[in-house]
Amino acid sequence: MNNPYLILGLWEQRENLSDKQVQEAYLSLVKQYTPDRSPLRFQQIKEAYEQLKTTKKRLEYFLFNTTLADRDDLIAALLPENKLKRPEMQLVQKILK
Amino acid sequence: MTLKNRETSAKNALRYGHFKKAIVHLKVLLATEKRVEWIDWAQTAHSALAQQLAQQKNFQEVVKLFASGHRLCDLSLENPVYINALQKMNRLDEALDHYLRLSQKELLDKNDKVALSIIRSQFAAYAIAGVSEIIEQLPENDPIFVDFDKAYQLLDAYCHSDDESVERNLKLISFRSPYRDLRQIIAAAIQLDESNATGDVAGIEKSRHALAHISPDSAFSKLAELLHLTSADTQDILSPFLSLNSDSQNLVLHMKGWQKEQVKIIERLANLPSEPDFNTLFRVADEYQKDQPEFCTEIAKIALIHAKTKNHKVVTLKRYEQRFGNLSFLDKYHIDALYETLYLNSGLKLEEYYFDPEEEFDDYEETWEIFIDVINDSKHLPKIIKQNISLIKALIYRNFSKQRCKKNKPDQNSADYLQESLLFDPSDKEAHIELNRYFLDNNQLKDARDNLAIALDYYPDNLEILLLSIESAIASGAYKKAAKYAKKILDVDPINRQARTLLCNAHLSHARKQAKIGKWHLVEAELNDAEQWAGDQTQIQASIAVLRANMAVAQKQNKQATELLKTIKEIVDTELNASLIIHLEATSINADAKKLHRLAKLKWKPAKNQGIDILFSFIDLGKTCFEHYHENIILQSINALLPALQTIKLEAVSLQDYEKILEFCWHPFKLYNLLDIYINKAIKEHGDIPLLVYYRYINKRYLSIDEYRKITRMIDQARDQGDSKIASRLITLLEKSGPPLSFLNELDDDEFDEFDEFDEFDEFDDNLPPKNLEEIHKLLPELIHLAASDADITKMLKDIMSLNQSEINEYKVIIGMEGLKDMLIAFITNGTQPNDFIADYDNNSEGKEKGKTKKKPIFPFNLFGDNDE
Repeated sequence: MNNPYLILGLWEQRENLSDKQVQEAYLSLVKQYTPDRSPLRFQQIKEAYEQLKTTKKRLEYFLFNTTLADRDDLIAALLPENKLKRPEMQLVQKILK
Repeated sequence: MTLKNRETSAKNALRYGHFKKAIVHLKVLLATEKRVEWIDWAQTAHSALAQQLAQQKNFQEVVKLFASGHRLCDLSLENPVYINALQKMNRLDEALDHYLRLSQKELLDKNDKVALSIIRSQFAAYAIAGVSEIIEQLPENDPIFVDFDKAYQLLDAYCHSDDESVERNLKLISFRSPYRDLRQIIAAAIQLDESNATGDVAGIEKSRHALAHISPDSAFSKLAELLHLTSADTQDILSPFLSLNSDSQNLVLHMKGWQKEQVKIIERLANLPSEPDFNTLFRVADEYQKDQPEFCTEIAKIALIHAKTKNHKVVTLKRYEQRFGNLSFLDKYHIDALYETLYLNSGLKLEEYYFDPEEEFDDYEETWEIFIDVINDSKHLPKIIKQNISLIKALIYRNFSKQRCKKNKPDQNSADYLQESLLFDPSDKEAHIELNRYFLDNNQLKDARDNLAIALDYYPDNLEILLLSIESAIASGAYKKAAKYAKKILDVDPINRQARTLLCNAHLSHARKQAKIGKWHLVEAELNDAEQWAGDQTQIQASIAVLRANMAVAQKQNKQATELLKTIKEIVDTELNASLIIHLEATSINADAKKLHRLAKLKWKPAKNQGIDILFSFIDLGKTCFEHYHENIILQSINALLPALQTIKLEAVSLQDYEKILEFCWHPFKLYNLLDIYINKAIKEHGDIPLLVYYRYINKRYLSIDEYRKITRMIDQARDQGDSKIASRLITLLEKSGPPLSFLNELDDDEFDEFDEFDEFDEFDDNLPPKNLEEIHKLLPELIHLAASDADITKMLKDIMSLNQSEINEYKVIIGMEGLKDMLIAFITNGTQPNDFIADYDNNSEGKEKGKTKKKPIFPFNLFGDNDE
C-alpha cells in the first residue's frame, strides 16, 4: 500500500487532520502491528506516519507526491474495512446443508 | 481359465491390493459356487475398494460398489463408509436408516468408531441446517439428539450476538459431542471478535489458527473455512472469494458489510496486478468514480503525471476532463511541476532520453516557480494552500535544495535555496542545520555566524545547532563563546562527549593563542578550564601537560617542566606517542620542540616484539590528533618523528595490518615519507600483490611502460581474486597517472606532432621512437577496455577529445556507448574525428544496435516550454 492516509486509516478525515489525530492513529496501529510480530506492516505504518505527522509533512506530501496507487490502495479505498458482522443464521444453515 | 487358476488369480490380486481385479475374478467364481471362502474374499475386496474410492471422494462409485457387493456376497450395508457416501450423495433417508441400524451394533473396530463419529457429525450439521426429519427419527438417547438443542441455541445466539447465551451453551457441549467442531468454531469466532475489538493481533492470530485447525473432513469445515477467510486482510480475500459458490459468497459479503453489487469490484481488483500502470489505474478510477469520487479523482490525477508519451497524455487528459471535470488552472501548473519532479527523479526513465542534469533542473525549477506565481496571483485557492502559502513556498525552495544535493555535493546554489526557504519558514530546523553545515564546511564564517544567531533564537537548546555554534565560534577564534555554547550542552547532557571535546579544544586553542604572546596567567586559566572537561580523553590531557611544561620552560622552571613532560608517557602509553604530542603542541605555539623533547628525557627504543603494537598505538593517537590540528602541523610533527618511526622493527606483519598502516599514511593526509618506509617493508615481506602495488604507485604522476604493465596485470589479478575494490582503485590510478613517461621522454619533435591533441603530452618535448608509438597504439585500446565503465569513457572523451557533455550525449544517442568507446580508440590510434567516425560507423553498422533516439517528451500542460516534439 502506498497511500499513507489509507495506511493509517485517515483517508476520510484527510482534509481536516490534526497532528494529534495522526499520532493517535499511528499509536493505535503500532500497538496492534508490533515490529516483532508484523515487521513489514510496522515499517509501512511507520513510514506513513513520517509522511503525515506534521502539517508541514502533510503539505510536503500534497505538494510533491508522485507515487502511483497500487492494488492494495485501490482495495483499501474501494472495499473499505468494516467491522465484521455476525453471519445470519439462515446463511450459515445454507452452508451446512 | 480354469477355476483353480482363477481362484489363485483372485487370491493374488487381493494380496497385492488389486481389488478391482479380485472382484472380477470373484464374480466369476461366485457365479459357479457360493463358496464361503470366496464370499469372504469378495466382501474384503469390496470393503477395501470402497475405502479407496471414499478417500478419493468418489462417493457415487462407493454407493454403487456397496449395492453390487450386497447382491454378490451379501456385503453389509450397515457400514460407515457406505452411510457416509449416502450422506454425501444427499440420500439422507437411506443414510439415516442404515445409521440407526449401525448405531444398535457394538463397534469394536477403532476405524469404524472414527467413521461413525464422522457420520454423526455430518447428521448433526444437517440437523442444525434445519433438516428436521433427522431429529424426528432419532431415538432420544442418540448423541445427535441429546446435544441438538444446545448446539442450535449456541449457533443462534452467536448469529444474534447474544454472547452470554453463547458462553453458557459453549460450556454445555462436551468434547465427545457430534457438535464439538461447531463448538470449537463458535469459540474461535467469539475470540476473534473480541480480539478485533481490542486490536489484539495475537488473539486474532490465535483464533484464526483455531479455525484453520478444523479438519477438512468435518461436516462444519466449510463454516470454519469461511470465517477464517472473512477474518483475513481484504487483499487476501479477493481471489479465494471469487472461487466460492453463491451461498458462501453471500455469507462473506454479509459479514464484511459489502453489497452484492460490490462483487464486480472484487472481481476487478482481484485481477489487477499488484502495481498497475498509470493506464490501468486511470481506467479503474474511471470505472469506480461513482463509488469513491475523491479518491478516484486523486489517483487519476497522479496517473496523468505518469503518462509516458505525448499521445497518452493527450488522450488521458481528454478522458480525465470528460470524466472528472476540467482541471483547475492551479492543478494544471501543479501537475506540470510534478511531472518535472518525477522526470528529474526517475533515473531509469531518463536514460532513454538526452539528459543533462543542469538543463533538467532548470525545467524543474521553472515549473515550480510558475506554480508559486500562480499561488501568489490566484484568489480562489484550495483551503490547504490558502492557509499555508508561506510554508508551501518554503517547502518548494527546500525541495530545490534537496534535488540539487541528490546529484551533486551541497553547493552555493543549494545554500541559496535553503536561505530562500528560511525567509518563508525561519523555524525550519533541518534547513538551518544543513545551511550552517554548508557554511562551516566552506569556511563562510560570517554567514554561519549570522544564520546561527537566527537558528539559536528558534532553538536555543537544540544540540545540533549548539554544536554547530561551537564549531563556528572556534573557527572564528571566539573561544569564550564556544565555551559558553558547550556549557549549555553540558548543562543538559553532562556526558556529551562531542561537546566535551569541542569545549576542551576551545580552551586549548585559546591557551595556545595566549601562549604565543606570553600571557601566562591566561594560559593557566584556559588550561585549568580545559582540564575540568577533559575527562578520560588522553590526547587532551597530554596536550595540557605539554602546554604547562612549555609555560614552565618560559618561566625558567625546567625541573618542573621535566616532571610535567614525564607524565605524558604515562598518559599516552608510549614514548613515541609522547613525542608526537610534544611535537604537535610545540609546533602549534612555535615553541622549541627539541628542547621540550630533551627535557622529557624520552628514550625511544622499543623491545623487538613490541614493534607492531607501538606502531598501532601511534596510529590510533595520530588519527585522533588529525581531527584537532592543522595539516601543516601534523606533517611537520610526523616528519620530525620519521627517524624514530623508521627504527620500528616490523616482522611477520599480516597483509591486513599493512593495509591499516598504509591507509593511515594516505588518509586523510598524504604522509609521503611515512608511506615510503612502510610500502617498501610490506613489498619486501609480501611481494607484488594488487593492494601493495596500488600503494607503491599511488603517488606516481607518470609511470614507465613496465609499471603500466605491472598495474594492468594487477588489475587482472585483483579481478580474478574477486577484489573489485582494489581493481577499481588501480584503474583510477592508471587514469590519473597519464601515459608512460619513458615513451614520452624519447619522442622526437616531428613524431610528437602526432600527439598535439593530447594535453597530457604537451608537457613533454622529448622524443618518442616509432617502435614505442606502436606500442602505445596497441596498449591504449586494451587500457580503454579495461577501464570499461561508462563514467570512465565519458571522462576520457572529455579529457582526450575535448568533447562536452551535450556533444557526448548527442553521439551516444547515435552510436551508443560501445560506439563511443570505439570512437575514442579511433581518435587515439588514427586521429579520426567524431563526424568522420560516425559517418563510417553508420555505413558499417547496419544491423548493429544503436543508441536510442527518443527525445524528451514535452508535457502537454507545459504552457511555457516548447510544445512541439
